[in-house]
Amino acid sequence: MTYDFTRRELVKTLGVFGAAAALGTLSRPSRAQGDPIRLGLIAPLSGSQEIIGRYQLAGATIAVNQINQAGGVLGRQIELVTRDDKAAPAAGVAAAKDLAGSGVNLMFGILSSGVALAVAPTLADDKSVLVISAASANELTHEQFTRNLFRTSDHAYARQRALSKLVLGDFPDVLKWTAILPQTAISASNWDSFVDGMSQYSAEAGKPAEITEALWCKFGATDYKNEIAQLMRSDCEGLYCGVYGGDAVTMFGQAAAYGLTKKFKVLVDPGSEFIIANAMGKNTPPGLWSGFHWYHGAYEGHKINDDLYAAYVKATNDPHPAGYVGETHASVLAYASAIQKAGGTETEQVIAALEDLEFDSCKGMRKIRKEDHQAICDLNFVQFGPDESDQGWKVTSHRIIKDEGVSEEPTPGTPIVLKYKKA
Amino acid sequence: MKSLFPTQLGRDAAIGAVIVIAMLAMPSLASKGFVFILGTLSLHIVFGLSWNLMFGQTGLVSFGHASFFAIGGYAYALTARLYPDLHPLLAFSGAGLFSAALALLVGMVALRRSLGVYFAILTLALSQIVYLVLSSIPALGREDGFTGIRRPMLDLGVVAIDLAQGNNYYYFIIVVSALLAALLWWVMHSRFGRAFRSIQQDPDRAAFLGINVQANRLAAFAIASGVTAVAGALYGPWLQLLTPEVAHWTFSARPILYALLGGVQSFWGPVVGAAGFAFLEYGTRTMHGFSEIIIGTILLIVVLVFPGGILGGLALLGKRVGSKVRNETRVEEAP
Amino acid sequence: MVDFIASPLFNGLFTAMVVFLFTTGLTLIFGILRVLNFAHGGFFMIGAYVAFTLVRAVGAQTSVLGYIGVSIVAGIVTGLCGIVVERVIFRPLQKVDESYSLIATYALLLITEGAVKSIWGVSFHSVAPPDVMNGAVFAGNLVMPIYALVIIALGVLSYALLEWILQHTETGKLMKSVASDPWMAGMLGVNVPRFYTYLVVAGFFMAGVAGGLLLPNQTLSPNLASTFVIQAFGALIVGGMGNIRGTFLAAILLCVVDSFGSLYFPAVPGLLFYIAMTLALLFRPQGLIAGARI
Repeated sequence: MTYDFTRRELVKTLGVFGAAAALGTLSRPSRAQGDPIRLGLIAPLSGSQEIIGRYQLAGATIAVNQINQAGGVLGRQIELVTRDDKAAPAAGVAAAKDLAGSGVNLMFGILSSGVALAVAPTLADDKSVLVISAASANELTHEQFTRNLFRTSDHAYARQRALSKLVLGDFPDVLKWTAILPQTAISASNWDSFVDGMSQYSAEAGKPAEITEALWCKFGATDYKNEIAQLMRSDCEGLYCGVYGGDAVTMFGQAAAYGLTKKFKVLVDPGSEFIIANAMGKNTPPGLWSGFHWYHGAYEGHKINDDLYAAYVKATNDPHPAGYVGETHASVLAYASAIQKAGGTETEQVIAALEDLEFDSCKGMRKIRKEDHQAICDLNFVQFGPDESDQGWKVTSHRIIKDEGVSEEPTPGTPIVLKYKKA
Repeated sequence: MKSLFPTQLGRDAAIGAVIVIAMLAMPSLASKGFVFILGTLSLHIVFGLSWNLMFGQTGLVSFGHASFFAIGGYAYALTARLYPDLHPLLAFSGAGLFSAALALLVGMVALRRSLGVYFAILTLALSQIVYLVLSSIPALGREDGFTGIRRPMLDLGVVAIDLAQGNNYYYFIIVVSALLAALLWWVMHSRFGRAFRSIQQDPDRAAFLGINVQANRLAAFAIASGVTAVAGALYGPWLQLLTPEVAHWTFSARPILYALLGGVQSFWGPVVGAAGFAFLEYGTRTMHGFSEIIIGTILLIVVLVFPGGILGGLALLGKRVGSKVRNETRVEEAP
Repeated sequence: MVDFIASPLFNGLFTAMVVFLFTTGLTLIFGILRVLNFAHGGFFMIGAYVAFTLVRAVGAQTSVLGYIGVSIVAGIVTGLCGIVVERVIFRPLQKVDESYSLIATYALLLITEGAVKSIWGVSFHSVAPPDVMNGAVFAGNLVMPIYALVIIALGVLSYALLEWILQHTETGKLMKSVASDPWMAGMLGVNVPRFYTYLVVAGFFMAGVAGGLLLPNQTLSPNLASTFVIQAFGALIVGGMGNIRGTFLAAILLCVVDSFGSLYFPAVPGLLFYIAMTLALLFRPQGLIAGARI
């Protein structure tokens, strides 16, 4: 009943995704050296988040091919097995069980925090390891901590606090902040983390920030005019736009007539990456700072970064890889170095090797904390603006924030404690 | 066939027994992923069967059946969290009874006022309210869902079974689903069922014959909602999580799809429909980018070729072949 | 005053016209064929993508004429799809229970989503309104984007046009007679099957035109198909048995209530739409405009 994702299937699928040409030349996994090591990618490969799943698949595919071309791990080739979680918890659990049932005990990927939270408690029973490559809910390394789960990507608390550090550094006088947020748990958690950082860093600088109650809107709404009208009456100078992805495109499109982007001095976004600029072209909101999982332009000269970028562009003809490409790539690299270190692929061996693992990735060194299994890594941000080019926008600035005191102390099993509660 | 099972009860009991035995044998034959899908499928089957109790028997179309699945699920999860010592069988049946009572209240108002497509859209609106409210209550985990729902310890007096161990919860789901399906079968074939069917065929004539159309429809609505709620309650510990998605309208579309795909005239229609749909989803799970087109096309072909659902179509074929099984089976040609 | 009454009222009216424009084609088909077309949103989406492709081909949306023209071309494309859908799906299913066309149109919705993904990909796109519609009219604190005013005007205009066709033309009378008794209409010499084909084409044409007209309003992605479906069903049924006047009034009622809701009950956005819908169905179970078909 199992159906494995062989190289032929992979090429076929990537062909659908416009990448067949580049992959046609890759070496065939050689089975003579022993069974391949099978890694399971769980990603939204259909449904509303498919756009992101495709990035995750691309990053993972590139990493696997690079490792195989270089001779594999422990002399064995890596084989990528993929499963679709549709960004839905039930489908995610089914995918993880399906992988475990077909003997794939090492998994990675997962975009949606809801899926990650659903899969996490099933891992120990199935003796599987899951390395999260995107889902950013703080709970995964706190109250829902399980020793079978690791996260090589950044988490909400670190990223949003780093964002507050960035804007305070650049705009020390913009201290009145408000937010527009969709009614989702991750948005609330993002905003709380941003407020926590904003309050701490502004107090340390001697000028405490003033936070105004956030404005809530419906997730997936088609009309934001009432919210925009309310924002236009606000006396704040900084706007945290928690509405993300396609919703953010809709909101900024509708806000143009009101002059919303001119009203606020600083606009930030937790992580829409290229989505807003790619969709809006010359109507891209000027000056918007966006959180990134990985921004290739910030690491030019770093070999892993450059090779990944080149491979991605060659495979897809898309010059703007989203950070998700880098994150699944990094998760595969983490597995490769853990397996190398452990000398095998047994669950317990790999868990032990991943704890305290330091590995190089497209955004430099990452260190997985032994206590809560959270990776400490760079936080990337990009600022966008419209221009006269064909694509209509450009990256006006980018920044790397090092995680030095940005993340919390590890406290697996207990909820994250915000140092600064909202007023 | 005919001589082996002279009664409907005998035939359906035999079919049911075969299905249940096959399901119970699966963990030793198939992979974990497949077993997980089967466990989910058995709850979906109950979901579809209970919807068809309303539609196939009394002609009532609900577009919001998922809301009772969700209410049952959240009610159980919350009860289990607040009163961890409560006996799980009490908690499960409590979730069902609570939802049935709620359905009774809603139905008393809604069924009096509206029928047909109005009732369908009314249930749709109500289920959207349930969905939005579940997505916004922090104590229920909002749209991230109610996490950490445990599989309980089942104390049966003589023996205590830890449902968290191995495949125990899977066996529990199969047994309870079978009991719920048997209950639905019994309702359909009891005096209730006869009244239901006469309403479905001609409500005015049924009323003339002294059948209380209102009360019977209400009963069907409450029973279906209660049974679905138990399935929802079982679903929480199965996934160890509940998200508001289980109240979403796309989930309400599932039982409709199952029943119509399988055939509404037969008790087994929703079973065939749910299994067929699960098979389609499982079969297309690695065809990234094509699954919608494949599932959509197959559904469309089935509907166009077998407008009475799969079982209706098969019955029609059977009839054409020329045997006179018609008197024995209730599987009839669709209208 | 302006902030708390005029502004939500204006924004509610705008959403109402968006929903109404989306729902017209659905109403027409439901009113006469009694088919609740789940795939309507799919063809609305195809219309939007066709319009998007045309706009990209010429660079940007510049003139009002271009905006209308592009929308009409989008409508023609979906109208042609309508011919196929009528032949392959609606006509064969006319003989069986209505519920089966529901499942068939649901399958069709899945197919349109898959088709859009393989033709246009999964990326998000956005198109700004024509230059002349950028900007806003400011009346004190009330901000009225010009594009929103245009959509409101288009909504009211299409309502007036449809109403005029239905009430004052031969076509309208024919539609009404077929709607109320297709058998009798057939006896009186109306070619009912051909009439149904025209009707489905008209309904699909409207879906495509709406897709084009509303393209600048929201993000374009394969998720667009199911975005308005539930609101549209609400407006359709609260309005009555699929009649245009009822749909128009219901869209206004539900969307304006919801708009105030988002301001006064921000904790659960969107809730008031469904509460209003529930109450409307309970108190006017036959719809706002009862009895009248289309």
